[in-house]
Amino acid sequence: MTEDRAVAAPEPEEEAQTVDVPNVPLEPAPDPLMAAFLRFRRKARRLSGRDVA
Amino acid sequence: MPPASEPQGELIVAALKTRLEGITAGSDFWYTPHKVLRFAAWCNACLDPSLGSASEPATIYTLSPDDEESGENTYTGTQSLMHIDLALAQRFEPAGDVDPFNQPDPDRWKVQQRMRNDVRKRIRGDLKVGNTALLVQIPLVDMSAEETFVKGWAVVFMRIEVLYIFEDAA
Repeated sequence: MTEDRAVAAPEPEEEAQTVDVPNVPLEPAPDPLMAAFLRFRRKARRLSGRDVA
Repeated sequence: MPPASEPQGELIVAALKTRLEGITAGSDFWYTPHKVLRFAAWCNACLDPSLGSASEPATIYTLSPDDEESGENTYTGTQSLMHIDLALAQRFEPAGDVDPFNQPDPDRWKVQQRMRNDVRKRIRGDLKVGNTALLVQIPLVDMSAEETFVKGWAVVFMRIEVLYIFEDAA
């Protein structure tokens, strides 16, 4: 007994495409004061044994 | 129906802000802050050079709550450690003040020390933060030139830790 099964033709493989990703940061850069403040915050977290990365 | 009570973390930060606003220059303290702010992270928008005068330069303290650690649970709540970062800033404009590693005026350090001393004294004057906490402490202060130099301002960063019981019923 043969099954009447439709066999789909293989899909042609998609060609790899090159996409230009603009070099834009995900978040706006903080101002220099905020950057200094956040450096301090990271230091404080590191010294308390957290955020060691 | 009455509204829910404010969360304990909010009460603690509000109490700290009120505490800092109560600093008055005189025999106990050097500088009266013109503003005490709460900001997510200290930034240029916190500084307002139009405040103050030549004899009383703009002095602005900014509180920025950080993360919080949860510790032991009790039958009524959870021991919690709240972290709050403080940025203390005072207008400071000596001539030729451009290089953080060759500052022409050693008074920046003196101003930084005075602000730090004022705030430390005020906070340690009420270790239970208006009975909202078990203990407040200051584990880190940074006045280093390379980390705190801001042209036109003397700046100090301080970290505050507040230990409290986060009540289940709160």
